[in-house]
Amino acid sequence: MDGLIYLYGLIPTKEASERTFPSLKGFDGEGELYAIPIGNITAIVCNLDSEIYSEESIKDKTNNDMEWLQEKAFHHHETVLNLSKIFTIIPLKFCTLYINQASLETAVLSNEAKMMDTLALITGNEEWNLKIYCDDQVLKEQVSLSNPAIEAKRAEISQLPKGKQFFEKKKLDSLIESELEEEKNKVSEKIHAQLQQSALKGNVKRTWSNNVTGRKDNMTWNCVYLISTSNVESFLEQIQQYEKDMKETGWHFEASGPWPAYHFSSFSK
Amino acid sequence: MRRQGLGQPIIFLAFQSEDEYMSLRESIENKDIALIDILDVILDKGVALKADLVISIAGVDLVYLDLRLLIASVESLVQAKAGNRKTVSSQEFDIQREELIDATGQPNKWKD
Repeated sequence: MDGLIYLYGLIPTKEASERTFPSLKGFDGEGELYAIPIGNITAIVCNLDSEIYSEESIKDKTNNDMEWLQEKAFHHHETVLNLSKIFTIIPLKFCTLYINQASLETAVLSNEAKMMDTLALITGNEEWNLKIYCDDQVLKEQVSLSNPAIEAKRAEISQLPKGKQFFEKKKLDSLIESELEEEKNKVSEKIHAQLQQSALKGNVKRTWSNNVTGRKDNMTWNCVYLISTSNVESFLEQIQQYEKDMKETGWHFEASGPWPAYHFSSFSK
Repeated sequence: MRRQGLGQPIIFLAFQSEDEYMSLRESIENKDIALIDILDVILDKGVALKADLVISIAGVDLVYLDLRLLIASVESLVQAKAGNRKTVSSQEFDIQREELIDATGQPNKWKD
């Protein structure tokens, strides 16, 4: 058959032979997913008609048809997520395609050792994401009231003549701003350090701007953790406790997961 | 962890920490995940194995912004659907709406 092979993920052949393979629809919504054993690694794939899914047509769709991208992105994610509930899986990037099975086999075999290491790392562990948000206004009030540097400055200003007070107050405002940023980083890093004690690995990500999140409060921390499955509940309880303790001071915690191990499967280097 | 999106039946499980029947991980697992979080991982973080064809999307940040507009339209669509369903009380609707706003990260356009 003259078709493309869409690769979703890679699992240990041992698990593939011991567990029941689920019935899942492929990328085109018609074909079924199937497994191709390649030595110790088994590739999970579906077939795609190369005429409908040419490089050009996929590129055109991903760049110009947002609804298509949304549907297919969900499909890819849900499929890998469902597989990750049954198998230890290395998740592939969206739209990784091969022109034939031989080509796929070559790519897998040339990375087999690294893949086995990756599978060993993620077996029995889960990827969780934590985003920390902060309402600057609420925290600013706290910082402004409880920070010794700001308090000292305020006391100093109150002793000055009125004219001078105006400029000094401006300076105080910028001091509060910088103390606020410092406080946000300090708190986030402290929490990260505490959470890392119950995680195997922590991978700090870039925070997203309000334009991207669409939220009023600011993202101050975005991090993924690799956690042993048995530790997940206590890890989440810890986050819930932070939320309870810090809600009043403008902090908000959002955990999501378990994700397929997207951040801990990289073996490109 | 489920998805939210076009044409999907929307069933919300409110995050209730006091719920003794559901573990914390189950309640989070059942929360809706925003498209942006999914794209962030599948476009940016999935394993890049040498392939004959890998579709790369330039300017992922711009894609996110475009998606915000799309998500906003999905949101209003879903809200209209939820509002028409007879079994949904206005109170439940409010809870669902807040959940949805939370999940999409959209600012609340509605006045309570």
